[in-house]
Amino acid sequence: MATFSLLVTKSPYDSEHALKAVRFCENLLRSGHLVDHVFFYQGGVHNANCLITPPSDEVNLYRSWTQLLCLHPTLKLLVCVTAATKRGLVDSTYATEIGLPQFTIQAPFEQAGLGDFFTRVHECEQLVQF
Amino acid sequence: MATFLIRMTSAPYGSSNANDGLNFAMSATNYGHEVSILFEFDGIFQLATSQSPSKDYKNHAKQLKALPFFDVEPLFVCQDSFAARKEMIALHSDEMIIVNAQQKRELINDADFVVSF
Repeated sequence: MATFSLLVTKSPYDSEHALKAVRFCENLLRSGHLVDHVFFYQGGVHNANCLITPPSDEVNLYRSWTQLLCLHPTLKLLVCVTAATKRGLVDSTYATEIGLPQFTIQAPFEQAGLGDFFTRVHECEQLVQF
Repeated sequence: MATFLIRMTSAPYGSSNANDGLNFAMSATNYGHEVSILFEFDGIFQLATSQSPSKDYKNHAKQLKALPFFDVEPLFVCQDSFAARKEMIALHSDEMIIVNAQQKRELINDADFVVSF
């Protein structure tokens, strides 16, 4: 059993990277591995957009990510705050603070910095990028 | 503490990869990790010394010069990728270590974590 960090740098739907990442994470957790966190960086932050609404006959990646918490409640879904805010992905606190009409990130996704990611990586044995 | 090998595979300015990779590398050393960078494929173009981007962009060459101050070193250059592009860029070879395919494999195998941008 190993402790994993997952790094997601691609947006959902434009490529299969995010789908592969969420399926990989599900399988790790079912196999008894520990996934400490998933860190969303670059275009990967779009995975955290709570307004994602795919057609009903397509996979809902946002729902897939959030359902991972049912398998492993302590899993952290960390969204790089710098990469996110410049792409319009903000939580309710920040949206209110700067007068935006809408928030786009909510729990279980959390905003975090690269520093939070690199601090948590100290406790991980494996890092896999998607 | 972990050792990271950052593979820079994209040219600057055409995408955010080069800039995001640099931010990633410099942040890692701030939090106690060791980081080295391998420039390969179109990432070789990041090393061009005569970059003059418009004011909409940060000058990537200047940012690269700051890497030693963040303890991001050594910097490796893929021999094959450079050979294919050497007519287009001048390389300060005294600041870079050129590695062949076998040495690249060793770098990748020796790093705890490998991340590509």
